[in-house]
Amino acid sequence: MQQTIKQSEIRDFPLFEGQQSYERITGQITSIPMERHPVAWTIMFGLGFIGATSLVMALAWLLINGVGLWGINQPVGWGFDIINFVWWIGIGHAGTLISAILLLLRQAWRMSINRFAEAMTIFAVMCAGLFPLFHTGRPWVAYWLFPIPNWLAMWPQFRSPLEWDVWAVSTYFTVSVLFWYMGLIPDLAKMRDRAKSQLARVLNGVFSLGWRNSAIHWMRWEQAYLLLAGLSTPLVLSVHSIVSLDFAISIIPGWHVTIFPPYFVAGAIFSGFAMVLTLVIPFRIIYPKLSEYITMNHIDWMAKVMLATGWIVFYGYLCEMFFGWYSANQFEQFLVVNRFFGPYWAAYWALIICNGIIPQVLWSPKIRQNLLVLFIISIIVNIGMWFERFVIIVMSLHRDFQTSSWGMYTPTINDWWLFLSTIGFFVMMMFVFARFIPMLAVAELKELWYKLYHGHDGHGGTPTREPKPTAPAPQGGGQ
Amino acid sequence: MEEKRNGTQHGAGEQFWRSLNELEGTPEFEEILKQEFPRQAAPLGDFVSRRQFLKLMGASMALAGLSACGYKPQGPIISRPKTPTDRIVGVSNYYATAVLTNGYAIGVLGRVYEGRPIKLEGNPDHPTSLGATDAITQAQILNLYDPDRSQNVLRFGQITTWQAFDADIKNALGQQTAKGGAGIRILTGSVVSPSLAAQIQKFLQTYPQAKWYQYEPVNRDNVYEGTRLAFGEWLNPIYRLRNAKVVVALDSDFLYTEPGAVRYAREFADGRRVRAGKTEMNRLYVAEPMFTVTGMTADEHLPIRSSKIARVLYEIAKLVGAPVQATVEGDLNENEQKWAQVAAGDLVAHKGESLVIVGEAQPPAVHAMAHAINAHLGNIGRTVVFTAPPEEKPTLHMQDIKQLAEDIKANAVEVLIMLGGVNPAYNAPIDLNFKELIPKVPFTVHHGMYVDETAVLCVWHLPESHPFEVWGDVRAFDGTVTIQQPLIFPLYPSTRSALELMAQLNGAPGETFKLVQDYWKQAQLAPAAQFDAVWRKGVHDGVLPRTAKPVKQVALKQTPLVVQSPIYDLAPVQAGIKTYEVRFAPDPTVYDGRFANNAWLQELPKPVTRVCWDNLAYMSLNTYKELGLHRKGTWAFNEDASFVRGDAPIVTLSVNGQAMRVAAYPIPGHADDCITVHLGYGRTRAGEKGSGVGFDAYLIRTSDAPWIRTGVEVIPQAERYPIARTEEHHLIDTRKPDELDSTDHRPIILTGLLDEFKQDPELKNKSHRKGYELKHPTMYPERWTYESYENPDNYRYAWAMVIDPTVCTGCSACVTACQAENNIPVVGKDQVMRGREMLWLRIDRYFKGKVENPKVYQVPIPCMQCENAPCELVCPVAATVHDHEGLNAMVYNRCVGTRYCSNNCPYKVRRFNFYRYTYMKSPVLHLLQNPDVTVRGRGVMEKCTYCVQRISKARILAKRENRRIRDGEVVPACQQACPTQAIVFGDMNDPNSRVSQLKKEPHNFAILGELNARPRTTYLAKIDNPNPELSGAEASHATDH
Amino acid sequence: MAQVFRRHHNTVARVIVAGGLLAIVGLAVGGSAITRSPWWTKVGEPQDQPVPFSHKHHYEELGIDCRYCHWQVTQSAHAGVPSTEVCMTCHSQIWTNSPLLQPVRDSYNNEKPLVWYKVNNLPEFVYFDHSAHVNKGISCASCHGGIEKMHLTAKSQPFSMQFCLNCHRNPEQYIRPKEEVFNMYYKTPRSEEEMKALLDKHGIPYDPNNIPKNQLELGKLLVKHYNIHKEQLSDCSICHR
Repeated sequence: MQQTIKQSEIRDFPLFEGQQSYERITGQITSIPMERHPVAWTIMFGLGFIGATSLVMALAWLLINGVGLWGINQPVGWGFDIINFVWWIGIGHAGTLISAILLLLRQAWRMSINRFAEAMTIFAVMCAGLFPLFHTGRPWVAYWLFPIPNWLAMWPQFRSPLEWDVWAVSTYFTVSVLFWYMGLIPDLAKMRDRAKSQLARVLNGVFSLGWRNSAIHWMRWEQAYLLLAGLSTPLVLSVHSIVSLDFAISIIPGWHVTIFPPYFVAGAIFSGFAMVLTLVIPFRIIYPKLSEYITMNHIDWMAKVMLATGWIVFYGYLCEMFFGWYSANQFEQFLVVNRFFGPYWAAYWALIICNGIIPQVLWSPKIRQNLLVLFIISIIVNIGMWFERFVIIVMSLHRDFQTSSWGMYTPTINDWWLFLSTIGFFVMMMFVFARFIPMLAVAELKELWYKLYHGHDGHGGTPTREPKPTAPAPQGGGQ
Repeated sequence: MEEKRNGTQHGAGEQFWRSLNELEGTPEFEEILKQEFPRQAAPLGDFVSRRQFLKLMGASMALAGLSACGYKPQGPIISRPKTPTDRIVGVSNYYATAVLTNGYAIGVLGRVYEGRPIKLEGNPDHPTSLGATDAITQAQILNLYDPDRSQNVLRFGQITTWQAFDADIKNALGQQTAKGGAGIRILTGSVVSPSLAAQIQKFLQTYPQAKWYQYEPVNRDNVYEGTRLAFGEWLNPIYRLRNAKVVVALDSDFLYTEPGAVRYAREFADGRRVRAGKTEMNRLYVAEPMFTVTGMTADEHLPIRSSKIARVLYEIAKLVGAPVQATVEGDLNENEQKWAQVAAGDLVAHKGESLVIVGEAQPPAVHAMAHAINAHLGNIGRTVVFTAPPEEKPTLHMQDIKQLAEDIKANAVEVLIMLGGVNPAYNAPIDLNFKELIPKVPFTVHHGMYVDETAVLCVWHLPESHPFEVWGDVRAFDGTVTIQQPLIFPLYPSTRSALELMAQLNGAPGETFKLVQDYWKQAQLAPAAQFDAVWRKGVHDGVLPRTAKPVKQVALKQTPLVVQSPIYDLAPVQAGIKTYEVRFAPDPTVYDGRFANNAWLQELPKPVTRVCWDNLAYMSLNTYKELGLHRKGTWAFNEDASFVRGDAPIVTLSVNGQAMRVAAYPIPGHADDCITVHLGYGRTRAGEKGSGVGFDAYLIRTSDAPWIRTGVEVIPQAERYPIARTEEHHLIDTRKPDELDSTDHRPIILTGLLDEFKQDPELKNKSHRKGYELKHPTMYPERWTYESYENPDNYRYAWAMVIDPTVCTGCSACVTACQAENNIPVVGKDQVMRGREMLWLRIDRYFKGKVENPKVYQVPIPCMQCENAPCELVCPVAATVHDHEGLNAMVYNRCVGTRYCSNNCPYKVRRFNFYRYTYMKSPVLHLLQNPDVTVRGRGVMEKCTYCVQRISKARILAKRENRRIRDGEVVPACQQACPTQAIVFGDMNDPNSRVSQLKKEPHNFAILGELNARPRTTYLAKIDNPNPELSGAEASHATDH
Repeated sequence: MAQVFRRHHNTVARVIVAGGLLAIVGLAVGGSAITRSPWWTKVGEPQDQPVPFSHKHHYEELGIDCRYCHWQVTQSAHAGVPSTEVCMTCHSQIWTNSPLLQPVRDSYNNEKPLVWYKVNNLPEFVYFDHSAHVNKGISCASCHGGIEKMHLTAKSQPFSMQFCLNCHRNPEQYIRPKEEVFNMYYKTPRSEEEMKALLDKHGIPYDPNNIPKNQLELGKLLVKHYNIHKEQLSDCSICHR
């Protein structure tokens, strides 16, 4: 086995660490939900649970009082609500990208992080979805945004980008959930087979939809999976493009920008990968078994993706400055000056530093191998991306055309409460996910392992369905 | 239990319901209540459901197919016992009446819907109104429904009855009979009601030793004394501004504060409208310490301390050769000298059609000088006439109040009756110390609409009726009498008007109708046979014929007129401490404090400063810096952070041991070394809205120096004070903080000088002219056509508006009118500070030029009704859409509240209900709501719709009569109220309509036209008429960038 | 290890999947059916009133015109309920002792209003004007159809926005000559002669070669004649302010 690896291109960038086998892959990953959970899990889940509870309270408080609780006002009609919405949607981008685009690009390394990233996507979109719903003045009639035949004889207005948003986000969420669940089915069946308690057996059994490992199941599963991958590919581009149109369609300087769609998508991927790193690094520590499959090479590649998308985003910033000057339009010009030197200058420079300058250290391979530094950078990028949305939304609105209507925006404690609560909810969901569901895609990893070391399109070895026990049987794991 | 309730604590709501129970059974009241509450535009869904929101959410999900209008329990519907002959349910009646705004009547038509007045409109037949109103008049309807109004007779704060009072006063007066009433004093405000005055005189006949004093903190003492100095008698000057080509106003806000302002504004504006081919324009010179509405309108503005006005006027007098001899101190600086010279030159050049006006705050000598100048220039009889004072008993108020104080100190007063809401404990000069004097009188009676600062010091408090509840009569500033008709059945049964009370004291009580009518019968309004007809017509029209005071022929009593000029300290440094001069002025909204509990006026941004809910110490930026109040800003734009954030440093104004705390605020165009403080704030017992708001300026106002106080030390404090403004006063679009010339950087408004306009009416040479274009080339088909409807296929109306900033004075009457008409809620200081004011119509005020003396531009901004409306396209539920007449309609109940429309509005004219602003604690306020306009609930966007309810009303009427709506038939509330007729609304498809004519004017432009939103509201360029000798050349340069 | 699931669980699963889908559809269909049903909208359900006033009796049997009681319907947004004085014009002569009319007499004699219960209710944000409709040929019957047959008054229409819009979008389907507005027995003429007679009777100009044949054609003629601008009728600002 050692020889096989060395001979391959893979050997310099191993996608697995340690002695692997089908059995070990299954065992290591599926054992996590079945074992006692580390103390860190309890702590993190507890924190997340507090956050989620506080989220319910924050929303109830909001519904009772109204959006006046927030810092929004006359010129600045959108504040934390839409900032957080766009931020969370952006974070939710890595999932689809890894699942779909990297699949199409035949990036084998996606296999070990896609389940994780997709889960993150779903939870992030859940957090994101809260905001457009609850940011409305009257959320109880928000269903008017859906084209339900009704007695008012009224349809939504399909010209509005907010209406497109409804479609884009709900489609994205639906497809992401389906895709994620589809991938889960064989793994849940594995869980069912290995479960020790009757309850786990039944639940896993129900959710694995009667998976019997038959060839026809595998065949259909592969087809469905591929179809969904195809379906979600355009979504990667569409969702954030459409979110960006929420701004680009308007006439407000700073919003009315034609490069927004690609620029938003790049930013979303940037922040999505940052969030994957933010999560993966501690999870590898909490669950050391994961590091066999999420190797330093994976982390290295993710850092590189961040570096690349970071530059696209930074290019976007430069473009905006250029447009301001080149437009010869006083409002656009003022926008740039106001970003540089206006009352919110600190937010703008924070954005440039967090997203433009700090990620440049990722050029260094050493840094890309340093988990602590990477973790910090990924957090900084997340913060930077949040500031990007702040800059776009608040700084464009607070000083637009008529000086008489200029104003300032100051978030209130309720803004922070809701925002931090969604983070809590997200954390809770991630740990619930870790508790009950195999965190990595077992079936796909085994297939990858097969392809790499045994497959006909791999590097050597003879195609065979039988695993060759090249490594000693794993110690742990259920049987 | 009710006896125990302390009336002064004002459980307003409970008391109201108690009164309601008492009222139960009176059919009128029940009708008002029951008939109207169901129709009353109740709030949108979330009102009912706030506590049941989850239920509602669940219901909305479950019943997705259902319309929003659920099937609620059916409300009541009332059969009256008798069919009223004078009205139709659902159709409003208008009654002529009058309100007292600044001591004198202004005629109004009260719109009464089902027994409840809901809106005041100007009375076109009334000489002071001419169909318009001012902001304060508009807001008075709210006073009627003020839940804090006094509702009970109180004795030492305990609720009691009128019978108890009648017995008590009878006893007290009985003890006086022997002395001829020597211990009785009556204190009233300025009485302009003939019938009330007659009742008081009758009382004084019974008690010949009794005395009647009048006191208003803002009074005409100086004016009358001025005429006495000049002509030997007290006279009331009335300006004929229509005849004036050149007006020099010295420390006078004759377009806003002073009596007759609404009429003056109209006459002044009529001499100012510039059109293609009509380029005659009057010219206004204003010298004043701080911008007023008049000052902002001026062509030539001179910031100068009030105490130097005398000096300037003397200079003018000398230059025009007026026969005046005065000794005045001090020198004018170069600017002032030049200004006086040029103004004098213009006055001389326009003999007989010029006018010098001096403000109420200036001492009599200055008034006398002005009269001498006017007499010399031949203006008297042409641009200014004199009549006898309109008051029933003219008096000097400061003298009266001083006399009363002395009487009390001498223990000569045993019975003090304070009628009609006088409030000396709050607003009498501080040196008289009325707070301590009133309790010294054994028997004190306070009669007023509020349990105010004075009421709580008195033995008795008697609740006063609102003038809309009773009959009365009042004189306008020219003496014209209006019979006040009641518009509503009294809301509170135990209120009485001053007239009723005096009649009661005279032992001849009666209904107000009878009292008033009897008076006029006796006064021989008309021969007995014709009395009924004359009376009816007079009541109907709101003007009694031949009651205006006749013009008097006047002549200077001596030539040359020798006047003792007032000597003020012109050297402000005393013993090494720099002292300042404080100028008191009535507040632009709450006046002398009597309207402090009026939330509309509190929230109305003050015309000059755009501050609401406060009075501040206004000063120039130089003075502000000199006092060390200016904080170095962040390096960003080097602006003082407090200018952006909106907090102000607290200072103490201290003089001779009297002191007031106040927040300091720099305002462009203020004279150096002096501070302007508005009266009317810092009240402790104004009611829920007005108590504890702002700073009490009466604390340093004395009887000797009621207007201009010198030698005031300003001590900065460490504290800072949050202020609510609707507009940042420093426009930050410039790197130079001292230059307020944002119009140079942004195409805010098209401006030009009269000379430029004459040569180039389109103002083509203005650099931003292109930005104001109305139409841009497009390949799309034209959606809107403005063709004559003589083309049979084009029957549509195309509603549009033109606003003329040249005549707009910024008086804000339109803003309050809009608020009254459209049920616009008040949000309070905190919400305004957060930038959430709800006023649909705002008046933008831009400064241009040097901060020391900038030019001011006023631009009323309603919703522009853009044809390519940016707001419409982004609404996901089509809650804001165009209708076929070009209105940008807003369907409140369809709105889900995404606020995207507001974000995308380039004019930022949309307003959002962040909270449930329309919630009213007191049910009495519901009576105020206009039933034609939906009351918006929480989470809903709202905005101006050109008063679509008025359009609908006119359209339905026209349809019924099968005709088109006539030009001028639809008048939006703002246009209706505008004293200068700066707003014109109408149908663009009618080529003969006023609005079409104005749209054809060469200087018609669209604000932010370059965005191609195609606003239906357009503007005429703001044309100024500065004197080329003074700032003309400079201004011409400044406006053309 | 024992099997977790039995064979019959397959059926259970299928039923759940199919049933779930059906339930969603059923909920939507059922929910919308319920909310449109008279049970919810109260259409046709008489409202209890203090006096059991019969429109059938007064209109159909006695032939009293609508405007006798609702006299302001042509001038105001509100049709108005008659004052008890109006009731008493007749009932001071007939049925003077009827116990059913006691509340009316009480009201009249004691000058106390008589409180009825609303039958037709529009939300507060809808501005309906009776005068605008009856003066343009929209009959009482279009909204209060069948009132001449009602002993106890009930709602004839749900007054949903859809109901209003239906007519506002297609007024020609409902419009009739102005003079027939208060005639509850009016039927669109079927024959050419009747149509001609109707148009002549009310002086409505028409093209003798092209006499309307049905309601739609008559409606189009009337819409033009009454100067009704149809496309404007569905503007939001027509009903919402």
